[in-house]
Amino acid sequence: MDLVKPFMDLHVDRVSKEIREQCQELILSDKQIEEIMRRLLKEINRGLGKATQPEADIKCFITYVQDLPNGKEKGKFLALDLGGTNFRVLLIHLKDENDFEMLSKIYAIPQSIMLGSGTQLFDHIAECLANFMKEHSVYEEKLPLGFTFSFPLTQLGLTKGILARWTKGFNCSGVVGEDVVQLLKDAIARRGDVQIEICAILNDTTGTLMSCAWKNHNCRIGLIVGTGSNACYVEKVENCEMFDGPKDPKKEHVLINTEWGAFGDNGALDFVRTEYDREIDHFSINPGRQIQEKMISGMYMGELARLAIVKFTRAGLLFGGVGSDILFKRGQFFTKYVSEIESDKPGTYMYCRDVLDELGLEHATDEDCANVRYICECVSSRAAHLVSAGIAALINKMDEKSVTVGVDGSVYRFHPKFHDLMKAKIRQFVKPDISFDLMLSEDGSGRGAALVAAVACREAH
Amino acid sequence: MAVQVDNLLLSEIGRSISLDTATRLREAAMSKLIRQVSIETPAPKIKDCVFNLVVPVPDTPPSGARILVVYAGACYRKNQSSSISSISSQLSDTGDITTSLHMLAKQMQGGNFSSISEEGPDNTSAQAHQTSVAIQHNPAAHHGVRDGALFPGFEVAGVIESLGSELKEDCGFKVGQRVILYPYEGVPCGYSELMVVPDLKYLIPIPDSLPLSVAATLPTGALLAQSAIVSAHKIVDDLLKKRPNEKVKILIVGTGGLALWAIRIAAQHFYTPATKDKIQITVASLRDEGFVMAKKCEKVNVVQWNEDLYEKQLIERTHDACDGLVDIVIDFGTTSRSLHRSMQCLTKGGHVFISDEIAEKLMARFAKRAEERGVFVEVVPTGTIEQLHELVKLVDSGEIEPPPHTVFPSDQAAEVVRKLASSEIPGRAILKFHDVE
Repeated sequence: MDLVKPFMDLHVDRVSKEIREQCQELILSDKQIEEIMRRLLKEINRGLGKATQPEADIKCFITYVQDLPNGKEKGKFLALDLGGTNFRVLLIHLKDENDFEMLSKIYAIPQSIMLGSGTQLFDHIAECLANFMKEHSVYEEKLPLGFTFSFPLTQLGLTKGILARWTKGFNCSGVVGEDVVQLLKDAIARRGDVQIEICAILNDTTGTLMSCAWKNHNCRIGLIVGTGSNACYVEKVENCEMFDGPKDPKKEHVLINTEWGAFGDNGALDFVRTEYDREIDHFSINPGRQIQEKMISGMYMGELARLAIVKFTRAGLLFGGVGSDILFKRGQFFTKYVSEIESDKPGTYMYCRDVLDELGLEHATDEDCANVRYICECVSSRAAHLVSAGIAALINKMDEKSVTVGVDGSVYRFHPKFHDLMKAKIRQFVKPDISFDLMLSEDGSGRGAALVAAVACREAH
Repeated sequence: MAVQVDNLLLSEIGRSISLDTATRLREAAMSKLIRQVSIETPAPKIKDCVFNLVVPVPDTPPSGARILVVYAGACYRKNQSSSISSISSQLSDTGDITTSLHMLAKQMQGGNFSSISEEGPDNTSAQAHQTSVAIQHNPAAHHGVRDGALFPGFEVAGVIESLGSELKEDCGFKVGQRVILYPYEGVPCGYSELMVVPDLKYLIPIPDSLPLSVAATLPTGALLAQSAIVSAHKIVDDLLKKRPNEKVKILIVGTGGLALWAIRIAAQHFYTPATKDKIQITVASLRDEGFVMAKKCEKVNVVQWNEDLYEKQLIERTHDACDGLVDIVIDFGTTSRSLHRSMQCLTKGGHVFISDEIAEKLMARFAKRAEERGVFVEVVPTGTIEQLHELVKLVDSGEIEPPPHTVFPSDQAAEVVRKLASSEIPGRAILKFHDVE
């Protein structure tokens, strides 16, 4: 059963026939989803293979995380969370099983630093960290730290990660090809005040998985649908031809960071891409890269909807053919608008009208609102279904009878229907004998990083 | 007549005027026509809101003065009338001053507006514009309005060019004196090169040590900000009495010119030896460059309100940056969205001050929510002329440092407004009409 349909039915009669027809290219058929699953699985296997990994879209980076939390971790741990939309420093005190205390602070990263030098970026991070430790009276302590770094890394060890490339609007010079752990250590050393033991570097998907696994020991997949999109999962070491860590008979698994946002870079998704996707890619900071991410994630979803709305406005199908300067300006239809518009009760357009007013489109009719909502639903449903195809492929690959997927990210969190859309579509394509659940991660990028550090400490002693 | 004008301009003002300006003014005065720039409420298409007109030289009122306009703040007029807009659109389409003069002359002879429309080069565009004027546009659709970079107001700084015939020697002003104009009810509908003031009480002399371009930023920008801070000050005083051991927290939204004035005036009001440790001022920056602008003012906390983030993320971020809820929010570029956000950042009993431009609509809509949350939505009152006098002193003495501003030729008004609408000009933008300094 398609959960989108009942909602759509309530107002679909006001959606114009032309717009409904032209939005068909944004709707994925079951056959297309099955084909996407097949191609994605093939690409994952190419990423795991030594001979095929260099050309694979999905790199399947080794995280070197081989242990999940067991609830016995204790002590104080620091975490840094860089990526997505926030930069945060956290202090977590693990007291007992399921009992912890957490303090955190959000720091801004101005665009000038996002696009400046790597030294500036890491000095900024070190300064925020030092300020935080002073504020919370742990300035004199040497604490283990987990570093969530949500960008594609070539990880060479638990504490060594080479930045493969920048995504999500970042583009600092002098960082690609460098070990970001060393850059952070250098920045801290330049200060000469705080003492840190960096125990692990991880991305947000790993942190999300670890955070959920601390509460639910069935958690085997971490998924982010936020500013970007990515997933990690538990794989057998024997399948990881790129794994070069110490072979331990007791450690049969390792977390794989798929970096599946790059799926489609070699053309595997061309059969479902639209002109809107091609335009977004063309004007992006990284054209030709992260093709799947550009079809899914929050950084691009609003713009996808805007491009469709602009096309239909210019065709005279919306707003009487009269747009506004703001509507025609790139990047001005935010992804949160999609969520807000879809939060209206069926048949009502309060949020939709607020958004359109902000865009200088006060002249919108109720039919215009219904059409705009339909466009948003098509865009967000496609994103949910693309992600679901990937998750279903991973669940089937692991072939465990009961699996929890830890999820985080602003699109998953704030879109009113994303969870339900995903759950229904995954259920449709996962083997019938497998049960699964989606679990919202609580602060995966923060607490998860501390847990990775905690588990690393546990194993070290 | 020509000789009189010539003598008046050159000898009485007592400053050098560029030859081109003098020639142009003499020509304009002889033809009794001068140029006027009108900036209307920003429409969805920003180019439709700046009009260049040719208007008659106004006669000096018997009890007032005529001002040679040197600088004018790039603000828009709050309310627009249909007929002016329609005629203005027609004239602006031509883009040629000779044609404008001709058409205006015809209008003056004919004595009715419709003749212009009938004879215009493109009847359709005039009608289309007439239609669009009927819709009440939301200026806060533009980023610059939300940021406090572009706002409704009237700001003129200039030199007294002539005094009314009924005024005596001891009226307090003299020809050639540098003044600013308090934006009284009934100011002209645009900035013309020569402007009349019906009563001298609306003129405020500017000390020689205060640059006239800075003075031009005071009559609406600084005055409105001052008015907001004065209102907030009463609440701060109350809170400091009721809660002597707690900080009073103020959040100012935006880093455009108007918001920057509010930040500096707030710092002058509250960061005094007696209260500086009891007040926390946080600025919500709507864009990254604003972060840098706000940080230049010391002791100010900054939180980034990136507009692409979800509302819950912004509210969480603001709570984090302010160490909890705030007591006062000042938001000159209020929208439905920003008011909703502000209310969720306010403590019970908190106050949010908003622009009066769309206050009526927003207050009606949010009245119930405000009551439920126990917060108060208030309109920033119109500033008084006494406050403006005070501001001149404070800025001149250096107690308040003005935000940065940039001076542009007045014939670039349309481009300037377009840039302000997207917050592309740091601080304030000032239009220059004459070169007298």
